[in-house]
Amino acid sequence: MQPELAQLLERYHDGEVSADETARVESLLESNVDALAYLGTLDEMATSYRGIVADQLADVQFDGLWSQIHAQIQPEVAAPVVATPASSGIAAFFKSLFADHKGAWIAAGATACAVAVVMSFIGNPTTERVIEKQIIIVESVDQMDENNMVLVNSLKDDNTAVIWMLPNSASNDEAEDNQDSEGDSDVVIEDEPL
Amino acid sequence: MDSTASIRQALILVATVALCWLAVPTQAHADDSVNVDVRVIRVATSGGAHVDTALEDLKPKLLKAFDGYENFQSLSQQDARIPSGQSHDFTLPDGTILRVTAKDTTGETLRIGIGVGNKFKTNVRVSPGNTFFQAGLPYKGGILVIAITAR
Repeated sequence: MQPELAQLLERYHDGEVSADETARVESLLESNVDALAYLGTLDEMATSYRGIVADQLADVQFDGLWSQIHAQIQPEVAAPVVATPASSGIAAFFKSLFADHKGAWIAAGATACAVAVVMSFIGNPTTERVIEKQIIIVESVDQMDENNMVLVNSLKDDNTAVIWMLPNSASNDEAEDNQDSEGDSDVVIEDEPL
Repeated sequence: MDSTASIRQALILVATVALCWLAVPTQAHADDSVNVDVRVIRVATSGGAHVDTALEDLKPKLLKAFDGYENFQSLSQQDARIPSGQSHDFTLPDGTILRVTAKDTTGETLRIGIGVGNKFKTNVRVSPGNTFFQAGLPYKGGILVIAITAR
């Protein structure tokens, strides 16, 4: 038999032929006894092979097959597989969240610290200004008693002021020792901040 | 996808903390009131050089402001929290009423009104924590000095 014809018959037996080839083989089988006999030989061979395989498979034990395969896997590859069943729960979730994204958390922590440092410097502007610039301004005086006079003594070196109320009839010695006022008015208003 | 979501969560957490920090009032008087501390001192030119221990913190200012006086006796200390626009009366040892009015409690300085009995009124603008004095009411051989501190 020609090799090409044998191959065609083998492919026909295995179901690997096109529609045209199927028609050609079936037409050939009707007229070619050798081709028919060869096809019968192929059927016998296939039947015998399936019987042998079935006999061998009957002796195979699949129980523990996975364990045997797993035992042959290298430890560093098998470890995650062993840990997977126990990695459930909130604790494992947070552990993986922090461990797997350590870089991100470090960056977030550094950013938070930088923000905290910046805010600590700009958080209390009023306090800093009190230290640098102490202000006392006597804006106005409304004298209600003609028997008294009001004097304002600003002590710039000490960042303070004294609002004196003295009787008109009293001597001015005490007031003159303590005042820096100018002019003749009874009321002296210091309008400059200390 | 998981790493991106985790980074996003971390940044959201940081932003939330920062926003909470920013929400904290930075002004000293965000609640529109002023704390006023009034200390009444008897000051005299006689009685021996003496400054009460209770006046140690004011001693440098007292000695400078009342040069010529030597005896400083602490009589009383009172304090009050005065809402903006309202007044509080302090009674002095000689019976005079000292009326303190909180006029403007926002901003860098505090504006307060001082009224001494029916004798005079004054408006003072002062930086928080600073102390000024009102002096002159006669009292037991000396004068009354009122140290007023607003915060």
